[in-house]
Formats: sequence, C-alpha cells, structure tokens
Amino acid sequence: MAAEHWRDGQARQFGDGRLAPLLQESRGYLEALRRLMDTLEAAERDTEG
Amino acid sequence: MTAVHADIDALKGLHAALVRYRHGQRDVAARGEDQIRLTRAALETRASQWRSRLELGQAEFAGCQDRAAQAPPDSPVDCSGYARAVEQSRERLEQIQRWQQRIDAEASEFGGTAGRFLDLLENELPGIERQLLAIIGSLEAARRVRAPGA
Repeated sequence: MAAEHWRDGQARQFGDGRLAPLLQESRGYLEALRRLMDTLEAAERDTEG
Repeated sequence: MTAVHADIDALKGLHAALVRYRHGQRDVAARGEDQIRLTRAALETRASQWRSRLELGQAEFAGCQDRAAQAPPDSPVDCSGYARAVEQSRERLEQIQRWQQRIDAEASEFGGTAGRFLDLLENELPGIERQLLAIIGSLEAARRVRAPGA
C-alpha cells in the first residue's frame, strides 16, 4: 500500500514539485556559469602580452 | 536486499546522488568564484603594467618634444616613435579596461543567477533530502524492512 501511494502520489509530487524546480535552476546556473567562463577565458586571451 | 525492495534501493540511490550533487555543485560554485577572482586579478596586473608603460612613454615623449623644441632647424628631432609607443600603450590599456568593465557587468548579472541557485542548494535541497529519507523510512516501516543508514 505504501509503495502504491508513493508511486501514485508522492513520486509525482516529489518529482514535479521539488526536484524539477531545482534541476531547472541548476541548468540555468550552469549555462550562466559556462557563458561567464567563456568571457573570462576570452578576456585572458585577448589581453595577453 | 531482495528484488521486492528495488524501489527502496533506488530511492536510497537517489538520496545518495542528491547529497553528492549538493557537494559537487558547491565545489563548482567555489571554482567559478575562484576563476572570476583570478581573471580580475590578472587583468588588474596587466592594466597596471600598461599604465606604467603609458606613463613612462608619455614622459619619454615629453622629453623628446623638449629636445625637438631646442634642436637647431638643420637637425630636427623625430619624436614619432615615442608618439606611436604612447598610442599603443593607451590602446592596450583601454582594451584591458573594456574587458574589466565587461567582466564586472557579466559577473554582476551572473551573481543574481548564482545567488538563487546557491540559495536553493543550501536551503531547499537539504529539505528535499530529508523528505526523501522520510519516504524511504515510511516504505521500510510498511514492509518491516530494516535497512542500514536510512
């Protein structure tokens, strides 16, 4: 019974309500970090010498 | 553990993955901050070097202009090399300063995104992990399963 309850309700609530926002924010963060790292690398390269 | 408890094992695996993820993302964030700091320091060092070269070049150019002003008409002093050096130093310095401004702006924009994510990581994720442990506990209790570490 507990397993059925988990599968039917809690799993969806847990995945959609708690994990999904975290993963979405994580993707946004990592993408922003990648863009910033690209800029830092370009700055270092362009100002060498 | 028998196959009937595979779902509980999977949830425990998910919990362990979330803990690893939280620590891993903290490391990523720290390395990102370090890289921002390092690049800013490198650019500031380069800006300082080119500022010094510009000041030196300007002094040399001024000295040359003084000599040119005192030179007899039949032996003029050419200061164009000093002028070019000053211009090159100025351009390099301005180029570095433009990068510094761009990095300041992009780092500031990134700070908003990073702040939201790190807030989730520190304040939301531990709650998610606790909720998962509670779910695992309730499943184990329902099946009279004793599982170490849960």
